[in-house]
Amino acid sequence: MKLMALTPFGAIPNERQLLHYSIGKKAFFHVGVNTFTDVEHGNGKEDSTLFAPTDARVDQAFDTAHALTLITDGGAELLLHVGIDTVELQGKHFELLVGAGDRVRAGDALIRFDRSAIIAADYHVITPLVVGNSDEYDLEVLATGDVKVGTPLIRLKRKEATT
Amino acid sequence: VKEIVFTVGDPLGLHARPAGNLVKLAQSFKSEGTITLERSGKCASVKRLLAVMGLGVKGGDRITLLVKGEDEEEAARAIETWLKENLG
Repeated sequence: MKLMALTPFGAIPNERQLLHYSIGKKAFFHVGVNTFTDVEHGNGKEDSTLFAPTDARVDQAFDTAHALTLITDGGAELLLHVGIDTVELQGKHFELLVGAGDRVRAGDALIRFDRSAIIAADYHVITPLVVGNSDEYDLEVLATGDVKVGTPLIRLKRKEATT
Repeated sequence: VKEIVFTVGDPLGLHARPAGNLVKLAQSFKSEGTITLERSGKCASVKRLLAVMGLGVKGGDRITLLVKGEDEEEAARAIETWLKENLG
């Protein structure tokens, strides 16, 4: 039987999409209700508080109280954002416990929020931790799945030379 | 140097997600860019997420972007298009 070269069926990835595949991926998060457990993440009984992931200085604390940025003692720029699109709540269901310029230690409470009320208002409570200057670091994921407060999540190691 | 003047229409302003997308777009070009918030006079590198978020750009604010570098033409066009489509 003679084999023929397959012609692409449907869409062909463009240059930009192909580039996307060449970029290293460290982790993948599914946003939304888990099909099997029917809860968004965790078991719904976790403390509704955002804690400092490491020793840092609070860079910006937004008046909408749903997010803040930290600069770690090692110079990493972190954005912690409680929920998705929660800027729209304009501070409702959120209580900011720190202010810009404050020193925080790993494990300090940063934001308290009413998890049930946020979910009831139809928002996801998944809370991204973004490294703003990730191009300056090598990132290693140390834990996945359910973690407790105090469990090391990622390790950032500054690259030798950056552009 | 290319200049873009833009008024933010989105009432939520340049919050985390649009800021992240803008920074990611800017980082895909070689050119450097600064974004200045007219209301406060503060400016920030358009390639730095925390700096852009720190401007606190709100709905109705006017911002000026200066783009400079070898691909400034292309970068400025892409950023202007993105602003119009996402924050117009």
